[in-house]
Amino acid sequence: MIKKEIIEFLQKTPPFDMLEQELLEHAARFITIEYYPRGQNVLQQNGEPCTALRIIKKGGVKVFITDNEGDEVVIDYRSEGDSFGYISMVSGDRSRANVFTVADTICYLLPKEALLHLETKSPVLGEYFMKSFFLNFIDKTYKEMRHRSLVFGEGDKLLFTTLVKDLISKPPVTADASVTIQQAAGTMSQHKITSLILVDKHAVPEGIITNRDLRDKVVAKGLDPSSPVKDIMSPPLIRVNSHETCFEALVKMIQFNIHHLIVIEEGKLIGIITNHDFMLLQGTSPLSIVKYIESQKYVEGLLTVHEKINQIIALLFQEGVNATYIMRIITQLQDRLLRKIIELSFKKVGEAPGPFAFVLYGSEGRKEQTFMTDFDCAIIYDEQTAPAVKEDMEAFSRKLLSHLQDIFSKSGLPLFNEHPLGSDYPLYGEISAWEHAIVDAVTTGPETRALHARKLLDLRFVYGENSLAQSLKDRTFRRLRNDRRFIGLYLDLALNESSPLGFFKQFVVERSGEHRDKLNLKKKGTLPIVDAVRILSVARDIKEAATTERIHALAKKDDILSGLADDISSAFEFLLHLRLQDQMRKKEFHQEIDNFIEPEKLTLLEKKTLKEVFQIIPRLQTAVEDYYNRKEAVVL
Amino acid sequence: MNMVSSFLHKLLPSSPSGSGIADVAPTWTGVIRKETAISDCPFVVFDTELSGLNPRKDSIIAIGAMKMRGGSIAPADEFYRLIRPFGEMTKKSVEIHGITPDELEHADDIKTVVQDFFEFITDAVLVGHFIHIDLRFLNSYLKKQHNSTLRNPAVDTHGIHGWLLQNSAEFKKYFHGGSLKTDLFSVAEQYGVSVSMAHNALYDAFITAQLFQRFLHFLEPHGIDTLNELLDIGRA
Repeated sequence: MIKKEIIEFLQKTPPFDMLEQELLEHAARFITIEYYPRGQNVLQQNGEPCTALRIIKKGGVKVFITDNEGDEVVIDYRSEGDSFGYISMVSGDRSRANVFTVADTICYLLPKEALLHLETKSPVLGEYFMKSFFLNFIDKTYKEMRHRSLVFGEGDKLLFTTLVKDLISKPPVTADASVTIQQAAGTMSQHKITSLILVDKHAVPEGIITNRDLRDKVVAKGLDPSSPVKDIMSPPLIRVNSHETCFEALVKMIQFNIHHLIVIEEGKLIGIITNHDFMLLQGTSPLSIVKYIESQKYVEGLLTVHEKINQIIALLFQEGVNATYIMRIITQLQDRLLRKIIELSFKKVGEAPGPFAFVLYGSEGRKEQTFMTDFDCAIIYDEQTAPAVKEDMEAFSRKLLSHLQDIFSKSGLPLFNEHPLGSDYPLYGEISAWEHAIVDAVTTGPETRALHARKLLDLRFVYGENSLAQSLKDRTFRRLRNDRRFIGLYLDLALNESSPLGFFKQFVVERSGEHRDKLNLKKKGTLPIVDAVRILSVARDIKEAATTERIHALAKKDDILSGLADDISSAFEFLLHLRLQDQMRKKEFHQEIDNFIEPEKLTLLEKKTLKEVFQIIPRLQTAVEDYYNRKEAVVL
Repeated sequence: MNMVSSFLHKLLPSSPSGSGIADVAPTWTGVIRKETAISDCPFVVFDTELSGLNPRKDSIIAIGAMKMRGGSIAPADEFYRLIRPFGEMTKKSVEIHGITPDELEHADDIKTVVQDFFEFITDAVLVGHFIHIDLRFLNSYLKKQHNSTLRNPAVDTHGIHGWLLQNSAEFKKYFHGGSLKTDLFSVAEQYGVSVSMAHNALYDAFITAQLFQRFLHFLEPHGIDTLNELLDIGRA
């Protein structure tokens, strides 16, 4: 009875939630329960080695060390679902830290032998405790996906041109719908298949069972395997015609949120396709969209491509692909689309009179695109000596920008901002004009404009002459780097956002209003990282625009971020992952996409990870502060 | 066959012939010495459900128990059995423990259950809330069958509670004065032990165990480290 409570608790506590029921039941036999009143040391620094892992059932503890001067250095606060004592237990070493109860605390103790037994059965457990939490979060599946080159693979099967029937290699395995669960599972294991179609007397499909059904509906619920398979099969089946394209099939899967479709040809069942088939199809070919984009001769063919790109996000996401990776693919696709649109535009607006760089800035510049919205763009060209050529460049730029605006409007996309630096400044100009515009805005403009101009510091080259974009960055960074106002304003921006974690590491959410109980992920999470990394990039002359690329470039260049770089970039990736996940859900339910999430609706693992993320951001802020303190000291 | 044995046979006509007193006996061997540190001491925390409060008329209908070593509860090592009663069950007792006569019809007889219970407790020190009541029933049964009583030392959480209220300023301060009530649920609630809706002998034993666990923490500063010292303040 009480054992059952323990198992239920472990089932929702990482990493034990990854274990099979049997292993949990076995482990629960060895668990003992201890209680410690608040204000007590549970483990003592340099005390006896732990003989058990302590998992907090209720309450909370403070983990701290006492340094040589006798000062207390708090390492962590841990609460329900967290554990402590692992390293000391595994190494047989003295406890490294003091663990002190900050509330009445009840712990489940899992003895060393029992935990080691679990680890041999499920090595992922040991990894979880050993490695830093981020490595745990990165699910094995999407690690694997990373190695498969989706974008640059070779092959000629395309999502939009491949027909469903081309994916079917084998006739489907079916079973009579009157068999038992055990018989059906037997057929599946005999044919090494993960799903089985059940048919009636006339070979008409009645339903389907998958491995997941066997796990969730039979094993987990303790259902008798001799029950009829009808008890667990899922009707009705969604069908797709064999001559439809894979893209249409994919849309159906997304629409009905299913992973299997049955394929019908002339009224007869000829096979089954899964979303895994699509991933395989794409894994062996360049993304079909790329080919589609490249094959277009007229702009009209490109007007709906952004919708297809949005569908790809859903597909990749459904497959569990890491958000960073999804964004990299999306960036590739959107860049290609934009380049193609510009190329085709020359037919309408004429060729450029001279070299120019077409750049994106803001979040598109930082490669944080997800669902297509507006492209914040600008045109840069070289200093012109002859006034006539200068006028030609201006006229060309105006025509190109207005043509693009026209195309975006026909595509149903929002229009881009034509005056990011105020109405005096056009979206095109010579390098020196851009340099003045940006530097003036930051150093002498009103505060809002000075801050708004930061978007342009994240500019990224997309089309034309890259050297022009680089040169502009070089010049603006050089002039801003030591400017007092820039440092003052941008440092404030980078350091001022406080962590949304309370004393006990609970999330501090909005107290009232429209977003009550919600957390602004952008304001509290991504922006503080973006802003902190930007000011360092300007200071240290890092030309990359994407935040994670900047972090890695900074780490390579010097030691401002020493030891922090991996944690920060993982933290940033995790935030983007959460944001994308939230956007997907909101899109699915046709809600407005915003930056607010409800922490209480996250899984335990996500909550835990998010809390870790919010502890990393202050470390980044401290690193930035330290850098400027040192710099100040040198100047004085 | 001695007298007690023949008496037992009369009382339990269903018990197989030849099985005598020897197989129903307390298992205390006396290996636990009074100097044993509390933290090493094996405890069995138990609770019984009774058909009424008169040992002559009423009987035990359920035993729930759980093992502890020092302050650690081992929840997987549990004991919970229903017992077919001798006498009539009062309406009031059915209301209290929610066990109906129907449920008990197929339960084991007291002989089997008590035997299994002794094997479960072996040399452990017994712990219970108002444990003298439970002991009175067990001993009354043993007396009738064996002319003997349980020899395991026994500790009463109610007694320890009273001692702490009188002697430990820290305890009173920590729990804002402590509990003036004495029943298990009120006491448990006062000291932060969650009391679930379910009410049976095993859950009550678990609650008692958690209460005992909390009390042990507050005994330590008073130099109560050994079984002997524990028995001095909380003997049943």
